[in-house]
Amino acid sequence: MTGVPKYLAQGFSPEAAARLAKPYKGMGHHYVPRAILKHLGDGRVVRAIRDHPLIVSKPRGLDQGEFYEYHRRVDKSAQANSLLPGETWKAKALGLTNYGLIGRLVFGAPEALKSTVGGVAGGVGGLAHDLQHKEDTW
Amino acid sequence: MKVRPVVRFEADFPDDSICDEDGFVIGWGGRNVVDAISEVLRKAGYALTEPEEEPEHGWTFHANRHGTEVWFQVQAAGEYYLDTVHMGLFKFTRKSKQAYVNTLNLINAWIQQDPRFRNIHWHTMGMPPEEMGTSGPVVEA
Repeated sequence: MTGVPKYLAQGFSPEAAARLAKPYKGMGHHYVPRAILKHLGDGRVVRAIRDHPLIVSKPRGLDQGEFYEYHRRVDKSAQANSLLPGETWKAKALGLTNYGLIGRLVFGAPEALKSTVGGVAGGVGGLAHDLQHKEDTW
Repeated sequence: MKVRPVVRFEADFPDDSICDEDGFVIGWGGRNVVDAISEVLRKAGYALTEPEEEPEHGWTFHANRHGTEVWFQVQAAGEYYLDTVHMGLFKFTRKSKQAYVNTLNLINAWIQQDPRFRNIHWHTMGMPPEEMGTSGPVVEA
């Protein structure tokens, strides 16, 4: 079940369910917690990287409620979101837990970071393979 | 000794969330709770950063005393969730760990005696749904 019916089934009001079913357009999940980035200060470098695609995970195609679930899974401090006065999305009430450390590291990683790491790892693997087999790729 | 860095509570503070024209919350509530906590910490000698509103997180700020830094996050969700994270390069030293525990005990002593707070439960980070919570931030292992 997805969209409005899913959120109605979870007990949200029709207004809140409609809002949760809208496409997510927020800031995304910070793979490196903003608390740590702020701890490093407010210098030019920190400001340049803190919302960088390599730092922020924003999976495509999620509605708002799905993003809240994703965020909860990958970030231990993401526990609730206010919807309407008196109506709140709460991970505890929905029985949602976090992934373990490995899950948070893998699923919380931004696509850009996965692509970069995957690309570099693939390149190194390919080079190692070529060298091992003394192949000339030119 | 195990430390529980998250406290969940109910509090009699006015709802200070900001809503759009359709009545949906677009600005986190709980700033008034942050101000009350800040006052307690400031009186105890902590240097504080200005609270900032973080989308999908709530209100956050850092407190620092004698080199021990703690990050605070307040989420207003009917009840309130106060998350803390012990930060800094020396966080693994015995002295810094004790200073962090002292900070949590200070917060706990205040909310336990202030009549505006009730149903206080301390949790492990991530607040697992099945966890009931304890009355204080320190649990003997």
